[in-house]
Amino acid sequence: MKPNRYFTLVFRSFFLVMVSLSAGIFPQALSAQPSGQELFANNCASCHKIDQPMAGPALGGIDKRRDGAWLLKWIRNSAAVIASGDQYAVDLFNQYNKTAMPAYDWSDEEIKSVLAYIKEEEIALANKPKAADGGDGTASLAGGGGPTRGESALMILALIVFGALLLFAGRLLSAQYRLRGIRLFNWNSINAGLFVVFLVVGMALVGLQFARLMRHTLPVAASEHGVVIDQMLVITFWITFVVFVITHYILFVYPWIYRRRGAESKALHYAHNDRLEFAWTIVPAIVLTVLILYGTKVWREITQSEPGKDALEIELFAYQFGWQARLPGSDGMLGRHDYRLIGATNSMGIDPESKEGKDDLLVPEVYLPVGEPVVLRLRARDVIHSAYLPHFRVQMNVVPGMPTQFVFTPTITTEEMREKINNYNFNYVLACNKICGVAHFNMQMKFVVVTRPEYDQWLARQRTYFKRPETQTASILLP
Amino acid sequence: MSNSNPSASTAHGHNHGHDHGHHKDTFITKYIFSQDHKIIAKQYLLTGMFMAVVAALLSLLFRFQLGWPEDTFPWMESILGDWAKGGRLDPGFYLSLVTMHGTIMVFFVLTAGLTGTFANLLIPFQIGARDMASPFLNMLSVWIFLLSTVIMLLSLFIESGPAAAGWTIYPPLSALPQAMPGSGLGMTLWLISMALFIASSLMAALNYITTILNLRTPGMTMTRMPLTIWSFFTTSILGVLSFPVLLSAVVLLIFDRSFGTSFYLSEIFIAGETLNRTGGSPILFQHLFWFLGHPEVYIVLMPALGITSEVIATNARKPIFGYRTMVGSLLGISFLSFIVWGHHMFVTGMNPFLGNVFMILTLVIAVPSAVKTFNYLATLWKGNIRFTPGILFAIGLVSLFISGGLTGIYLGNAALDINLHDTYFVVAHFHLVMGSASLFGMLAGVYHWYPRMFGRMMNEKLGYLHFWLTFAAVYMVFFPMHFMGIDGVPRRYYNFTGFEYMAEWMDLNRFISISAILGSAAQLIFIWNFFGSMRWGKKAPMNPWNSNTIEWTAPVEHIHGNWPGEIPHVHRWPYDYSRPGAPKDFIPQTVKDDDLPEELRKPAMQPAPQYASKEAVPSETLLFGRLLQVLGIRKA
Repeated sequence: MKPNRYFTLVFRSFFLVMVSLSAGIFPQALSAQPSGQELFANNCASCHKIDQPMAGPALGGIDKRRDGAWLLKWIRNSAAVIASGDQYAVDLFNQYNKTAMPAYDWSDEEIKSVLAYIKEEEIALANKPKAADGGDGTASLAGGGGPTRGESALMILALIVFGALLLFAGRLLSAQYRLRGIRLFNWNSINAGLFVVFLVVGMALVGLQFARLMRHTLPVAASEHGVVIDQMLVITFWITFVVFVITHYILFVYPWIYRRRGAESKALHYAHNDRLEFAWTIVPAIVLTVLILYGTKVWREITQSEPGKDALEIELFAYQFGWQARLPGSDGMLGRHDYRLIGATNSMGIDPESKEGKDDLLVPEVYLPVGEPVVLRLRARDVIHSAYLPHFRVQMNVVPGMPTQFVFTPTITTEEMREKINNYNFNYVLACNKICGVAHFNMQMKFVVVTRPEYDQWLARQRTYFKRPETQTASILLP
Repeated sequence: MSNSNPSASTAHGHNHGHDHGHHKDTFITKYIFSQDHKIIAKQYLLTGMFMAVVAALLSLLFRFQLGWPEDTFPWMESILGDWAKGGRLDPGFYLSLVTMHGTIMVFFVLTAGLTGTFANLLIPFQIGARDMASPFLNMLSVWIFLLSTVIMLLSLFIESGPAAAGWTIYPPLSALPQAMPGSGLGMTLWLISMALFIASSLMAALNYITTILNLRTPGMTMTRMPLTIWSFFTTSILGVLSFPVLLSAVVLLIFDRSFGTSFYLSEIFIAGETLNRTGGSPILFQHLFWFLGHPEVYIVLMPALGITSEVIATNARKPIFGYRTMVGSLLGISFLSFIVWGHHMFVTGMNPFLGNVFMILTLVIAVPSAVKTFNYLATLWKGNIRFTPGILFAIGLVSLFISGGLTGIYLGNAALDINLHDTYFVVAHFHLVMGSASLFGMLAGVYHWYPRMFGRMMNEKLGYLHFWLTFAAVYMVFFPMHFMGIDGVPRRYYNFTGFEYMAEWMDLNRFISISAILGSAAQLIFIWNFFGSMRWGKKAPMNPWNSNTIEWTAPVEHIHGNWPGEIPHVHRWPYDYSRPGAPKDFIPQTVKDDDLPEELRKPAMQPAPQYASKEAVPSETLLFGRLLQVLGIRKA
């Protein structure tokens, strides 16, 4: 074989091997079709659990309660089923506080895969060994078969009796001592000393918390502005920590030193000192001024700079209780939207006549190319939500009727972050951070940062917002 | 100008001597519809304490959920019924719990319960007045407060649930009943209750201001008033200027909810339908709300600071350090508190330029707060400290104020706020600096003025135990939350199991919940002490703390009009403690100059210490004295 052919063969095989290997290591990053589990996690989990009701009913056993045809209709457009007068649907709607379930324009296969996932989970939960708890279902603090109600009551009673006995004994004893003119305890010194003890124990516990808990806080910021914010956090921390320690030292040691020691101890009548007041006014003022000027500079850079022309635009649409994400497609422009167009088959209210909108993409997860600026365009459908991406140090309220935005540049890919923190299940995540209703705690969407080539590959597989049956089938294939 | 004969302004004409055989009080007029400030103070106190218990119980319910999110609690179902089906708290009701906990604590306990009690008790007593400028208005304010309390408590039992949109009740969530069940009747009752509460607060605040300005006894100039009175004065001014703005926010919200207006609503699709409301802005509500909301936190805090000044000075036997600066700080904080509200709104989507403005102004307000802290430390320096439960809580307040205040520096920086807003970092911050600090101020006040209110002494040892348990519990509950906040764990979340990065805090949440349960249990000691001492406490002497202020010159048994005969006149400021050469370590405000030797007559605001004898002073090796020496303020 000619040398360059040989090399080509080797490289091609190598490439194929690597792709298939990567598909194994990062199944989520390169998956062909969202699995039932992914669809459930991204769409259903905010309101449904398998085994308990939440914003919506528990889904375990749903296949026994409703047949497949009904479920297909319901998932695709629950509002229409209710409007048609279906009694089961109407009762369900009223029982769950008239919380509307969004319409999912999914194929038969997709719905079947979600139902299959639900069945799997139901079986898995039923087979899980029963969680350790006391015989009558009481929660156990110790985690392994806690006290029964009777035992708890007895313990409390015993404590009360013991406490009362202690008190009684204490009063007897102190009465005896008082009669004889002996002072058993110098309560003044005890309290004074307890402040010093509190200082020592308290500072030790503070240190312990820092030692044990800091490792659970966010890893290095995954955005350009994020590292600047983190630096500022560290500086602010050290300044405030020094003040915290010094003032607490004074506050807790002075009670000991200046406790009343007896009839002869006296205080110093020292009513004011203007020079001192000036000193401890001007020093905090200067320190705070420096901190805040730095802060205004960073804030200005983050929020008051215009995104460049090449910034990737992503529209995040928040609703009770989930997110939808739209990309502008090859024309680079997001189509016009109007809230009056929102309906069961047009969840984001995009104008079907708008030519910019025809190629807009609806994506179940947001992929970002590393190192390229992104502008998040934020819109809400019903109440105030908040787009919170803590790993990127991004937060902005999403307000109905008032578009907001946030510009940032991701700097660490998902793969790199997984390496850094040694957690191969890690994913960046978008959470809602403004109270928005009963399922506020479960509105999430996955964000993935990848290299440019990976991003292009992913982009090519995404489907448009408006389904075009002539060019796309329900299932999505690798090119 | 002071006026000790407010005959025109009271219903009974109290300028005559005080055997009050001229009118007969029935049980109703003496204890229920009383116009006497002392009874009204107790009515505020008891209601505030009751509401504190309610709010604490609400918090225990959601702490159980947060500490044990996977467990079921059958007892919860027997108490809450459908709100805890199968022993698991309903997620919507969880939000109601945090909403009602916040609302009750901020307004009913720490505003009405704190200011209502101590302003009513202390203003007439400490400035030398028979009663408030308008006892009738005073009675009205407490009764409207009681009505608003009843309505707020009623809302807990509504079938569709109490208000659940957070104590900040942002629309559209709070404006649309279809957005969440709690935004139905529960929200309506909340709004009605708050409208009444605001009316009550305004009436009370007007009364306090008028009384302080007009009814001071001769000799009681503004600069001879105790710092408690100054704090009630500035608090009331804040209230008068800011509560009406909350009322306007509430009224506009009622309009949006019930009359089809769109002040806060625009472009909404919810519960399957497009709403025909356009043109409004949810941000308007936030501006109106926080215009009150920020001064509100100072309304909650300043009376506690005033109480702390008084309690520390009296028990350390030293003048409060820097009286004039302390007054100046109160005034500075009051003025500045009106122009920083936007720091609650950095990430709301308002024009980010405003972020710059509010960030800078917020920095400025940190300065007078710092000055007050240093003044408290300086008051303790070289004191002769007698540890009563009152001063224990006062010192605890200073600690919590420092800890919580320092984290305010992070949050006031808008760039840092991006990642910390609405996380547990904020929860830790306000619970330390406002919630716990003000609660400690309230407790310090109760322990200190209990003899004045009930004529008995509380049990000291129980007081010590109560303090140390509570102080430890507060830090164990709230300090760890800072770390959760730095990790980006949001507040108002029913559970954290849905997000992997949050789930690692489950163990810590259990620890926090256990600490909260133990801390709440410790309050039973106080409740036992409080009610038990009324019956079994030692009878109090007239001036148990050897204090200078004139409320301690009134007879222990309460009489209508406070003093038999003439109201005492005042000749000095209230902080003449440990004057060298004085026979006792305190010189009450009522002592005339003629009765004192020459060197004790001059106003006591002298900079230089005059020692009677050098041996009386412990040798100084510690930081503070060294610093003074270094600064050349003190001779080495």
